[in-house]
Amino acid sequence: MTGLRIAGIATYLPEKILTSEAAAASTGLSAEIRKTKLGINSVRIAAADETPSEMATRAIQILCQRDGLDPQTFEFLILVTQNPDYRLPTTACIVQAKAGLSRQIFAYDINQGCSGFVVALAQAHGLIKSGLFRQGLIVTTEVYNRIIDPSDKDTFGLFGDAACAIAVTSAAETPQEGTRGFFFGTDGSGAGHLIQRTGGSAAETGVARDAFLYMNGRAIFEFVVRNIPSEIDRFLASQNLTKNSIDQWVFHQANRFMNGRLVQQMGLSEEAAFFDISDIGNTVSCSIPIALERLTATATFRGGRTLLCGFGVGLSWAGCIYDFPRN
Amino acid sequence: MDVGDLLTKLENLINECDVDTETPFSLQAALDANDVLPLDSMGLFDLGMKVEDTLGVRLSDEEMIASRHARFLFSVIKERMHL
Repeated sequence: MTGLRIAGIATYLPEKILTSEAAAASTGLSAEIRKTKLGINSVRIAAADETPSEMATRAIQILCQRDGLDPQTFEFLILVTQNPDYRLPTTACIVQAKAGLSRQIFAYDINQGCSGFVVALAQAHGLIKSGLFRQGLIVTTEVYNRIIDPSDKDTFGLFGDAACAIAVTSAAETPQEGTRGFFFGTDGSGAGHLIQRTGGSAAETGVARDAFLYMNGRAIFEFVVRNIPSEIDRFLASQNLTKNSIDQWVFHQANRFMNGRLVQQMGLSEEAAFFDISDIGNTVSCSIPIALERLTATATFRGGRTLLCGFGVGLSWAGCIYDFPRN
Repeated sequence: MDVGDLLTKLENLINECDVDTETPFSLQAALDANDVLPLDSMGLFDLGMKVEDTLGVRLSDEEMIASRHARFLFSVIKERMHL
């Protein structure tokens, strides 16, 4: 199945750094636990003028300047964020103007979190495979720290702000590289386990804390460890593949503890699953593209079959196989 | 299963978690000393899931927090299993 090829990934990280020591002082969750158990030494925090559209634009500029791409050539923009600049218009429209994208571009937002990048990748795959477009742009831009209570040990210092721009194009001329198959899942019965209760049309009245992100860590942990392995097994079976068919695994980069238990539950070796968030934390929809950018830049990267899987808020999950050329 | 079996199984489950001790954790010693489990909140999440999957006992969030105390954990599971 010819899908799409990722032609380039660029990341923009805000300058402001929140260390684990500073997060520990604010929340009581020790810096040692943050570093050793969660694998997070620091995260980035967006400044007031670093809006999602601004960070998205900077990521697109980095991508275009580095790879010599003309922003006018992108035919679609799929922007993933859960903290848009405004309730309306969509942040994608704002980014079209800021980044100098074509006026004829097909641009829209997806409100998804940790599964958002793969969801966007699937939509881009469909848009390209349908013949409607040849190349486009996926942008993930997230500022969870705007809605995090600095005294909340379950969230503060764990989530980092970031933006990624990902150029995608048809893989018709590169049959050895590209997306192969997707799987998705949704369990809205767990919506309340990771939620910001205010800001929407069903805004719930209550204490001021409702304005902040709420995360039921236990429920999220159990959702991931109990469900994701079987969902991946089901998908691999549907593709007539086994775990041994996969050269490397790129999961949503939540934290070392959760990812470690997921890897253990799936019977994978630690080395098979890429994990690198010590300087950025959990960057939500940016975590998989950042991981891919870092993975492909490592000296030991040899390409091959890669399984991507994001999971979290919704509750939702999405995964796919992406083949890199072997070298 | 009797109380002795439960003690052994529960001790094994705790040691399967990421305990903050260099030597294997002794549940009997912790019960005798009225000690707390060498687990942080994430370790307790892990233990809670293992207890449910292995012993069929689902602890509430409040019980989970209180389960840091070995005697509470052991007594609540013993009671749920009618031992």
